[in-house]
Amino acid sequence: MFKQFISTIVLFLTIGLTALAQVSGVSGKVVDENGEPLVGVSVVVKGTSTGTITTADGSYSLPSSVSKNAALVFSSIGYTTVEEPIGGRNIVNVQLATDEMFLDETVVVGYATMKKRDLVGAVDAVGHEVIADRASSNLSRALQGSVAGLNITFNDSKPSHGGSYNVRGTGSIGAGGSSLVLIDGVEGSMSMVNPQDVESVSVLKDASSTAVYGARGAFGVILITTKNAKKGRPTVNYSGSLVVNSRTVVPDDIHDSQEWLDIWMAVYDGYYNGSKARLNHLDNKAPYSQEIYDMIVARKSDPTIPNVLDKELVSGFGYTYLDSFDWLGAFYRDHFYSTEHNLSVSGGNENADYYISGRFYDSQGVFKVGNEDFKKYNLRAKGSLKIRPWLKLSNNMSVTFDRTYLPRQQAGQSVMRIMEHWANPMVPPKNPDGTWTAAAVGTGYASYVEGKNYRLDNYLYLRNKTDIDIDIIKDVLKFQADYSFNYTDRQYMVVQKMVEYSKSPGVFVKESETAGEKLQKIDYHTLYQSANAYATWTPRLGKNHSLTALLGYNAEWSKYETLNASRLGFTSEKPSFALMDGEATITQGGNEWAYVGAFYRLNYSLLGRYLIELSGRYDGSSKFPKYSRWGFFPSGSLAWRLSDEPWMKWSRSWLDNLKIRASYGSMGNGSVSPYKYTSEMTLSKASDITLGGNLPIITSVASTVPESLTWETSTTYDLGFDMDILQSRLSTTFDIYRRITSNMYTAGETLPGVYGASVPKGNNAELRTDGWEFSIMWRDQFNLGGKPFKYSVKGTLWDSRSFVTKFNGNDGKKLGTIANLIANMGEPDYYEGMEIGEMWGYTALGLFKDWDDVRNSAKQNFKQTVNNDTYPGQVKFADLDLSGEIDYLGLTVEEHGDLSIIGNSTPRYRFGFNFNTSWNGIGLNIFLQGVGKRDWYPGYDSGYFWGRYARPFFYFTPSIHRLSNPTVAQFEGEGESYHCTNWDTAYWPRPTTYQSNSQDKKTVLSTPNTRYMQNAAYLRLKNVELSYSFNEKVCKAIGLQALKLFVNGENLLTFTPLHKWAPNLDPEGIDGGDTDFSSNTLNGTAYPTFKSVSLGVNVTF
Amino acid sequence: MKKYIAALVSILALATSCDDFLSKENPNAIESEYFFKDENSLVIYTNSLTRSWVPEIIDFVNGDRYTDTHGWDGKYNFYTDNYDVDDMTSWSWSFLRSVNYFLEHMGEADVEKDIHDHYEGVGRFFRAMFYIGKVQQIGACPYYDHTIDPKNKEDLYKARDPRSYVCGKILEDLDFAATHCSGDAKYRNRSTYVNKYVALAYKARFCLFEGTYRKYHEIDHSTGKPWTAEEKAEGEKYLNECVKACEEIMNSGLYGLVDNPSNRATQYRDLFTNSDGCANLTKEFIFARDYDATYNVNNTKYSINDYMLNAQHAQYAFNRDFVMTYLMLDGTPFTSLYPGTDYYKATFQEECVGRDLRLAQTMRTPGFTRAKGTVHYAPDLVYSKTGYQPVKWLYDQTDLDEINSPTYTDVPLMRYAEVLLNYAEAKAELGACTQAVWDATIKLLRERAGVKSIYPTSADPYMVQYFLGKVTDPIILEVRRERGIEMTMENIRQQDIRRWHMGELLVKQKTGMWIPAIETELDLDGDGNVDNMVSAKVSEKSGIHVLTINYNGSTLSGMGTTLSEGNKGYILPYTANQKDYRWEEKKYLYPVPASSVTLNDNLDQNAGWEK
Repeated sequence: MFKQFISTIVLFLTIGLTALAQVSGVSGKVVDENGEPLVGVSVVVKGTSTGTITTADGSYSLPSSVSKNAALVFSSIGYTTVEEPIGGRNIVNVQLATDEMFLDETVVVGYATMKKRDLVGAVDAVGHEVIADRASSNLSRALQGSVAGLNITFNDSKPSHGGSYNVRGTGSIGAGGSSLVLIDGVEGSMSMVNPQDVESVSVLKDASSTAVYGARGAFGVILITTKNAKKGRPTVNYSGSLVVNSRTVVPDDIHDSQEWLDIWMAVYDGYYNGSKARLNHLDNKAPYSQEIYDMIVARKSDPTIPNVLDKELVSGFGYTYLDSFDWLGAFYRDHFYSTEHNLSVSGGNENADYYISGRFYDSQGVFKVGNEDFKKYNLRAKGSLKIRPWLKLSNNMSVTFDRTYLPRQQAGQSVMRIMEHWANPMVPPKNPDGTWTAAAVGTGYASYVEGKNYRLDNYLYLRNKTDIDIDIIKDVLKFQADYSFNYTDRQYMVVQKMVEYSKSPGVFVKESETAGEKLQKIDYHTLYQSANAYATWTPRLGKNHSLTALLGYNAEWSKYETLNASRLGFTSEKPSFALMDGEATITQGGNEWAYVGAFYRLNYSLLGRYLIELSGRYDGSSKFPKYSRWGFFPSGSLAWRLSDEPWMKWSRSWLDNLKIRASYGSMGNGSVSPYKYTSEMTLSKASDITLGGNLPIITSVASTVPESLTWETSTTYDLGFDMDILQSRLSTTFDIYRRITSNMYTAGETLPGVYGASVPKGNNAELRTDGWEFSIMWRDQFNLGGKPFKYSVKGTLWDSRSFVTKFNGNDGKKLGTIANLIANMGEPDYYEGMEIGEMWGYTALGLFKDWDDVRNSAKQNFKQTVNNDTYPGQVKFADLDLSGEIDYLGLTVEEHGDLSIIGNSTPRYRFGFNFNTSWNGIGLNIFLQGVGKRDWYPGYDSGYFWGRYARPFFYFTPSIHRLSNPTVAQFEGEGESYHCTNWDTAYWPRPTTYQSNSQDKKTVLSTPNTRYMQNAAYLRLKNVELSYSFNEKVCKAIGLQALKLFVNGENLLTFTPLHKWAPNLDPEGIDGGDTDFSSNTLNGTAYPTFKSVSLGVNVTF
Repeated sequence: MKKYIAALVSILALATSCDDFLSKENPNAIESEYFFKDENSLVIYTNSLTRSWVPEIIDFVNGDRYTDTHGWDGKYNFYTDNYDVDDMTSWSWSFLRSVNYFLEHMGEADVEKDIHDHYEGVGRFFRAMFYIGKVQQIGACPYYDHTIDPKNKEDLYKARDPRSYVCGKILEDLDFAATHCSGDAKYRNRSTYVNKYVALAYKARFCLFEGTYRKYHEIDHSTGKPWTAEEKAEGEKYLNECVKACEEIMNSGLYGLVDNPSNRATQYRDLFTNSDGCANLTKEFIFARDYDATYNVNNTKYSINDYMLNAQHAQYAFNRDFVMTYLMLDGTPFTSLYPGTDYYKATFQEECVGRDLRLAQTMRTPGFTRAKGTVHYAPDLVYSKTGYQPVKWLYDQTDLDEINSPTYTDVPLMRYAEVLLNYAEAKAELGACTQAVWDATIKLLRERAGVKSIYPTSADPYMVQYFLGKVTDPIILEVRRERGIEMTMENIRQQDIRRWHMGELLVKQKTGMWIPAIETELDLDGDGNVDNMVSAKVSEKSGIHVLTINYNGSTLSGMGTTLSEGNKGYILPYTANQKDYRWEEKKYLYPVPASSVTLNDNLDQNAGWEK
């Protein structure tokens, strides 16, 4: 019954794509190992395009034109492919064997690999196919969206930047702590791995699967396994690609000076209402007068008027500027290139094997000037040696070197940020005498062009791991030990030199001169060693029982040191301390920590369908005082394979696997910085004062010691089910979980201010995270033009919410200060009951229509103008507590006036959707990724969103703020009749400045409100790859084993409601600025996000 | 067998002693119990206290912004009715913790007794400085002479100690410092270390503050109740202590006024624009913040010139009422040149003739030049609000005018001139400012400014009126005149006004220079070229500053700057005139932050600030 139903579905799916079978010729029936007919099996005449598929009863027939000497190829998803010569027969029946590799995929788990069907914990894995061919600078870019529950977030597309990641949401608001990343079993960072070396990535999500990592795995473990040697004759593989990158969002701004000045006047007068004269200059960058304005207008129709006049019209400005210069255009390239080359050699025999790979990645930067450059070199050499039949020794060494050269604004400001203040469109980069203008120097443009200011970052990662495997009793008792030595070195250098500009002929000013001309070099290095020893015992207990016991020991030690030297006074162009003559400063930092742990895991299965796993770890950390140093973290889980029950026999023909899993476990988190439990005093040299003529050595009051300091504990409950049906055509996994992080290391109860120090921290708070993950995959094949057309579709969707369930440090449930609320875009201080990410703000009713509307509404209490007056066309907030005015009272959870929770900034309903096809050597992969729900409020001073509503002189003025735009408030009348004509349809309020420039409670647009809350959900075509693999014959003919050409596109399309009002922001680039430079807090000032198209080749010799 | 041994050896090799392995010392910090060991550790710790305590130049110069002498383009919310206890957030006690930690632990250092006592004096000096700040801000406050254990509820939730008790403790600390701190040259190096004379000078300032506060205030604003007889009587004790402290400095022979009769036109301003005052002006500098070019230690915010010049940031302007107080060179009041109150019609040009030489060294007057006389600067009516634009802290070099130009002005936080003023005032308040006292103090200051000294015998009616008719003692009035002029923009006026019980002056109408007629071009710097104009119509005119005023509702919103008599009169700058300013008795103290009162039931609120 059921079978027929399913068969019908399969048929339906394949109908129309398949050449219908013809009468006569070759026919037959295809069955499985149990003699059950198989539907949908592809039957192709080898070497031709003739073929068909089997019907519901497993039968097929081919036309008489088929040569009886040919061979038939039978293939089906989940079964091994069979090639059967016809040998003159008319009827060819075959039996297909289950593909064990397919049904029983193995997954890397802690200190072992396991068959997927035996898993009892929540583990997800992806193979190298997800990563291969994507010319990404960083592995994390390729993993985003591909594993349910693995949240990877990017701030920008800078090649040297990776993503930030967590498993299953916020883990701790105390000590912090992110997922543990292990590369071949040793802690590392995703940015040090060559993505092309990766064989698989496993994500261990629940306590059951991470328990063997104890205190390091509290918030998930990401296991990255590199490719192993392929035994046999040496295989040489080369892949290379050329990538063209361009920005996903090209800002659309107003840089026509007339319009730019019109907006300046509108917002300035809007704020001061004539009570303050316009300045005779624009933020000291350019002179201004009506005469200058008139000349700018005249110049638009008379290009003979020069862009700079050598004439003092305003005192202090010897030059008068009339240009309409596009500063963004001057800085940014339309597109730029990256290249990648990989070469690997692999081979071996029974006794020895090796894998050696190298990679070179080179990328330009997005700036037209300054020669920004990023290079990365990877080398990996792996090999193993079977010394005795029972003794295997292997070694895995890798070296990664990357070099980032960043041009720098003279004071180290991010140009995206500082342009806001300096890039005045009236001012071109150069004065008539060839000197730089204030705008050119302030923005950093001059510095970029001159190339004298830069930052150089060199990273070296050296990792070596030696493994020894001893088979004490073959297949029963195995002992393994490994030792790793990692060395990370970062050389960081900043060359800071002043750049001169001129506002009057012959008068030169050095911008940012207070910062001084200096060279700074910082050396960071980390020496890390770890050792593991573990034994695995797999006794033979007969057919119905299976047991695996693992017992192990782990020790880790890390020593981190920094040496920071700087010196003033260059005497030469060369950046060397030896050639300088000024004051030198040296500081040193660093720390040392160690972990020791003993762990066990027992896996028992009864009748192959009742699975039990018990694991645990006893951990010690040097970061805690002796009396609270050790912690024991056990976990257990159960799984039941219903599909293997005898009473489920009826379903066997279509149900391959149905498993229910339940796990519970606790883990430790000890991610506090070392030495917290000792009261300490530091020494440093002051740089802001001289005493007795010298820079004094200073200290600080002894640090306070926490009330308690021990492991935070994260306890996870996980319930999951896995189901595979139709020979694993359809697989699905669902997990629901709750994680409670207790004893979080946060500040204790609020103490009176007279205490004089921040409240001592202790293990005080608790967080609960509830979430679920779902993934479903359909994979199948059919014949198209006689060739199997393979395809798979996979969707993943996951979500989680976190709540603070206990918080000792905020007894009064205060939401914090209004300034912090604004700075954090509505996010309050932690309090008991709070949901992570919640945003507090006012409810906007719209824009004021006229004076009557202003008078008849609640008092707004904002600085909508300099005198706190509110005008028609300005934003009207709702007086929710009916107090007659807009207020926030005590700013507590109980008393919050007109504030309420208006959104949540946590990305929710994250998803990935993957579509894979291959046919006749042509492959097409499409990967969509996104976030289903996310609220976002543009931060204060973010000119990329607020434009001149933030500050009157801000450079960046979004085109949608154009005064004539109907979505900007329009006005009619004067005095009492002054009113807003489009109060009901406009989005942007009355042009008025200083509405979103500070954290002050009176700054109306800075405080989050419902009107300007943005929806930052998005759907992104993350990756598309079209590839062609030449068939074997062609390859052989040209002496290759395999040859593939591909075109790959990243971030090609983006759909997001954010772009309605924030067209200049990328949904993945809204948070903060470029972390490499200071002043990085404004939304939209991040380094850009790119879309990339790459063209590549992959050759195997 | 071999393989079993191999396995065993590997396990043993890894199983090191755990507790040793897990004990790590911080290589880059000192465990606090080992910090204090020798004199150097005391030096390091007290250097840190000095660094935390001394203000940045901008914060120092900004100190007078919201006083009677200035019209600052910004609203001081505290003076309005909008200010309430929630707006009070400043309640930091971390500096006290640092000081008390030092005093508790410095004894661990193995040093000679006199060294120990010197540094204990330095520590106690800073504790006094901390509590002076608290007393001036919130009056009575809990007094602690030790660091607080977070578990000590009694300390944490303590009630306030009375103002008189706290002041007594401050005096004790200052006396200890003045007695035990050394005054040796080593500690006077570049006027940057706390020494005996620094302690004496600050003691004098504090004693004058508290002495006059008790004298002029009838109630203790922390309690809202009148002083007890004892508290009131203590006022005189503080004035006497002030006198004693000043005398000790004056008699030391170590300090004096920088006064070279041939440099009188420039030497006053040089005190505030000298990039190495700590070396050049040690005679007058008692305590200073030392900026230094060699080490690139400069103003960290905007450059000081930017603050004096850039319309966007500066916005300083003197108030005309204050400008009137500058004497004529012959020692007579400027206001007495005119019959009755006609002096208010004096034009800017007239005002600038024959005045105290400090006038031209404090604000832009005709003939003011920079860059070695090559660049003339006329007052800019548009941005200086009142027309009286400051130059006191303005460097001559025009290449340092940009926002980020490095300036290295050494800032005299305590100079000898103030000691003289404190001495004269304490004496005057005690009714003992004799001709001899006058000659040793005010006379010297006036002569340095080119003004003839006249021992006052009758009250200048202008000064009486300035102080709202409440002060009539001719000597006290002259001492106050002198103090205002000599010390302007040196972060002292706010407390002066408060201790004199003259809060009304802080919220009074600001006034600017006299404009004889609108729509008439003006040549304020007298160089023969038009530089300013006041107009009700024109808003911009090439090359000159046009102040657009509101005359007969000529501005868009009916707001804006006006002239006192419509189309002529003295300037009433709109942005500096805060119509919603209102003075109240309670404002002599700030409220205790509401959050602290909520947290600690024993903490009372200041009178008038209760919710």
